[in-house]
Amino acid sequence: MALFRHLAWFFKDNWRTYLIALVMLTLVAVLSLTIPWLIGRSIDTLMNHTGNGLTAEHYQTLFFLLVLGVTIYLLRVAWRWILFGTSYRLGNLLRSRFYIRLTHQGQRFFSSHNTGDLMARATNDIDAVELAAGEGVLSGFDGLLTFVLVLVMMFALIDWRLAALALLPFPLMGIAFYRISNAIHHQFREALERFSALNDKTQEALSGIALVKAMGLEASESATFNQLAEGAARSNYKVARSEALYDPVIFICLTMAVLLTLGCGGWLIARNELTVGELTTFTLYLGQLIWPMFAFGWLLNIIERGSAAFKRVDEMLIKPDEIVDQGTATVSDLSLEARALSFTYPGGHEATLDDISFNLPSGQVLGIAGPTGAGKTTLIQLIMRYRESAETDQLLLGDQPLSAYPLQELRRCFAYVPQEPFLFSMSIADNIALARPDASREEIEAAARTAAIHEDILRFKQGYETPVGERGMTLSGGQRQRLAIARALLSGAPLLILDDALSAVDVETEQQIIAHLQQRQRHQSDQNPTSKSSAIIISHRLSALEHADEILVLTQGHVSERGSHSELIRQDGWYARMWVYQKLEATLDA
Amino acid sequence: MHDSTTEATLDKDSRHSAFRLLFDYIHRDRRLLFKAVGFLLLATAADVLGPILAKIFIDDYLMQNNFAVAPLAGLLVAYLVSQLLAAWLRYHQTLKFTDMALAAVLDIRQRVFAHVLKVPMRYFDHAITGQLVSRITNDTEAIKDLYVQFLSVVLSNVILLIGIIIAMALLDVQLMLIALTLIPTIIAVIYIYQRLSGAAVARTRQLRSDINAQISESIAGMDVIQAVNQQQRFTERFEQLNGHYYKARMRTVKVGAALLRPAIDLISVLVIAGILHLFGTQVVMGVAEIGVLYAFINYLGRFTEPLAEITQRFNLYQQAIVAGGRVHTLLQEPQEHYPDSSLAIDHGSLALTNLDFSFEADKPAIKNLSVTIPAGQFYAIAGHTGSGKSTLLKLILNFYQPQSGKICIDDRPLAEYGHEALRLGIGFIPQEPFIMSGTIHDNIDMGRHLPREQIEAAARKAHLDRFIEAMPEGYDTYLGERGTRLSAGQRQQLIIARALAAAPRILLLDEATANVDSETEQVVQRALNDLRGEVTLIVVAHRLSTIRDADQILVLSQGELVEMGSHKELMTHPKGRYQKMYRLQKQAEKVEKAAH
Repeated sequence: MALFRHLAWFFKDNWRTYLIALVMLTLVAVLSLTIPWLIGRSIDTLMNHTGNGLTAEHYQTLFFLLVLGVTIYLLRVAWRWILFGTSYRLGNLLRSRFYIRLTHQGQRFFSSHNTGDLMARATNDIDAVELAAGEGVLSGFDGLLTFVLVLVMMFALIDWRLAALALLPFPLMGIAFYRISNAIHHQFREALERFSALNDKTQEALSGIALVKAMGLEASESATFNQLAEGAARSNYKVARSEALYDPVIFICLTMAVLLTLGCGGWLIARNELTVGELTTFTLYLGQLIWPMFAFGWLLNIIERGSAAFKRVDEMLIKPDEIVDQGTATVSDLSLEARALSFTYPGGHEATLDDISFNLPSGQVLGIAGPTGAGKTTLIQLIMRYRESAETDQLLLGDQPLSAYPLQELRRCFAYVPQEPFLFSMSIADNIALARPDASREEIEAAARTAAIHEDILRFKQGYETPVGERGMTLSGGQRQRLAIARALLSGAPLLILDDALSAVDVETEQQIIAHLQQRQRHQSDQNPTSKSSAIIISHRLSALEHADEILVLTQGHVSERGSHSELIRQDGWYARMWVYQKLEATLDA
Repeated sequence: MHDSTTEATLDKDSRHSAFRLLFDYIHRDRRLLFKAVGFLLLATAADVLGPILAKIFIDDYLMQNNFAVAPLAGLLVAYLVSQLLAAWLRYHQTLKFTDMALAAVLDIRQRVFAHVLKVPMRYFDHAITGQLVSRITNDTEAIKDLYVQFLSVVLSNVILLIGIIIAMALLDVQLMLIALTLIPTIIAVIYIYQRLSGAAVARTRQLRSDINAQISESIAGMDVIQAVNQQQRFTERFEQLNGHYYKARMRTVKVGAALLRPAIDLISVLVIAGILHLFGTQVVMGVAEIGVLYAFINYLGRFTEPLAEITQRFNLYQQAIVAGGRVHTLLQEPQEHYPDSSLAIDHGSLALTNLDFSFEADKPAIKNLSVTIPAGQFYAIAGHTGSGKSTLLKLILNFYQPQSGKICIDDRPLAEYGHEALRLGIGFIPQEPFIMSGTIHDNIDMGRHLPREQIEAAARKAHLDRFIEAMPEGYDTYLGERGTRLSAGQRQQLIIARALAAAPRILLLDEATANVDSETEQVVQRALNDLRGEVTLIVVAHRLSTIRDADQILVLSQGELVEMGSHKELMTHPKGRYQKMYRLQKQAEKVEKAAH
């Protein structure tokens, strides 16, 4: 019931719709009980029939029956619309909120929750909550109501002695239902586990198919799989066996009840204390008691599942924003400075970044190089405020800490191209215009030209309208990177950040793009001398850094070398050695 | 236009074969089938007998005020026995059908898994693993749902309906005919429902998968969305989709509410009214028996339930047929074929002549490559990224067949060797050491059921024996997934032992590309030196230091063999490719040093 307390806000907001649905349910329950009663009465009038032809009363009863049938039908259709519609609205509401919460989270959140789990929460878990708010309410209310009404009719209207005797098997049915549904619940969980084991095994075997084939493991892999599949079949069988119990339980209990009804009823009829019509009515009522017995077990199950699911959804909804967005300053000066910046990942032992200092005046280019795992991407994530170190005054934009600016204002300054370019399931044009959906086609094409991707795009059959992303065309790594660069350029943000964004592009294209960028930078700075555009370029390939005003070499989180390209190659450090290596490699590839 | 028609016929074909695949199983175990059907028929007969007995009680005894003890007791016993028997038989019939269904699905599952493992390697280049896994597990699960439901629910409900109709006919044909109108009416309603809801249900499913896709895409691209400050726009986009989903679902609820349960109940009320009316006219004519009406009303209560159940299984049926079609297609995928020969690899000499191979036309991966490797020699393959060295290894492993040219082992073409001969004669050490969760013994044996001595000998050769014997449980020590109890070097040793356990004549080693610590590198070095002369060694080297001692080094560039010789010989060519690679590697080491 804790679930309903948690969802109280929703029930309160929608109390009118719930009330209407429940009133309709009540009407349906009452009217449904009238039908057996009408049938019984009609039988009794027929049994006492004398004379020729059917009486007006007979036709009247039939007419009532028809009217009742249609009324019940309409009410049933209506409450379904209302009740299920409302619970679907709850689902929509939760899903929207969930999505909005996601847009407020930083990289720490996304690296500690895997996508599959988040998606399960947004879909399957919300489904379970919906089910509880829709069918849970239904089965609880309707089951209880039908149960009470049927008992009242049996005891008060027909014969309490008959009712007391005939109902004896029903508690047994309730207990049996409860136990069966419990057993199924556990067995079902086991079946799910077995299924997921089967899934894992299949995944493992197929991703290691080369080894399987090379070692001739086909037979032994199949044997392992067969065993798991048999286990899955066995647990499925258990579930099926428990489910198969429902039928005989209902059947036997009902048989006993009918037997008791006929015996006791017959005796009462013989003593003229009961009519045949009433006996028929009573038998029909017995059938209506099955649903309430079933509903209670069903309700417990739905609510249990709904509660667990809601907890998982709510956990995400109440998670506070990872990055506090309370800045108020506006950006006026684009110089970026790091003062002894250090950062350690939560739970990490060693600092990922250690005592990093640099100054990037506006209009300049900062190059960053260094071996993998040196902390280059972490540095960018801190600059973008995707992550945050405990001390917030180590990174400054225009002499103010980054947190002094609203996130929107801050990120508006950066044209960021991540290491792994990400394309959304949209057209190429929409992907480039992501930051500015209102950009004209000329602007989009201009950005594509600067990123040296325009010619490639024109070669596709649908040109700029070609759909990309998961369901669209597959682009090569280099094409994806260049698209992401075009996207960043179109945003018009003054500070360009390339996080190894040219790694999949060949050297010629790389030089072409770098030249375009330099041109553009000069052009922009001429136009707007007060806020000159600057750039941070991370690259594995050192040729992309040659023109940078300053280059930092990061190794194991700290700055091991710094200077201009020509200065650095004169030393015998990592940079100079790497430079030689890359030149040697180029002769191999030529 | 033309495309869509062929697709449609294909679809029909695969539908048909999916159907055959599924229903072949039903009469596979005839005895079980007969038993189950027999149980079902008996259960139904016993079941419908109940209301008839009640009718006899009402008409012949109650209404006649005849309370003779003996016949009444007889009726009571008959009633009890028939109903308990019906319950018992029905339960067992359900279990029998479930048994059949699960056995069938188990068999399909095992068949499709075994089949996929034997599909040629080429297939896996383009297959998406996630999708294949889904064929083997999710799709067979959908088939299971259909089977269990279809056999135990649909079939038994159809038989129950027939039983009820027969019982009704025995009681009163006229009344039965009125009740019978229920069936065509409900079939019509279901048909209309299918027509109206089909599109809505499909749309709901589509939108749901769109929602999934959009969430997963947004999670993956959240940094980009945040970088360009488009959270608001993406939220609106999601809400729009969410709204469409709501509308589509409401459509299915509306259609379902109007045509399923409530409609079926309404129709049954109408039929009861009809029966009451007809009964009324019978009363007027003086031929009515009240017990008949009682029995009919009882039957009608049972009548609607099976129909409603059958309706609800329709969607399952459609899903299962689609899933079955996909599984069937997968089962049709041709398997790789090995000859049935007793030829064994005795020496391990290799001869490659004029090999040509390409994954895609016009992009040759191996060009006109010829080389002869005498048994027991240590040959290394070197080359820059993309030079074709791993591809050459895959050709020797018979994962792919060359477009032209020939690979011979001990002077016999590769294609003449059976599966067994190849897997015993050729050992393979892949780049990524794969440790399964199991004991050390299991990890060396890998399901080949090798004798214990052979496993211990292999561990000795890999210098792992002392370590294993020092463990409290020795060879039976349990290793968790990915073998986290072992160091990187020990994992490598274990893989070497595994490859050596079957005493292969040829050992292929694909050296790890990733950074390997010096311990691991030494392990590999030492093992290779020990094996010299015992087996033919072919090593794809990414670090040239591993192969300094090789008898011959083959240097590949863009699929061609450009240089060949020992390390010393190759180093004497001042402009040679090997020499350049060597210098590059030395430089890489220097870079590496500067990074620490």
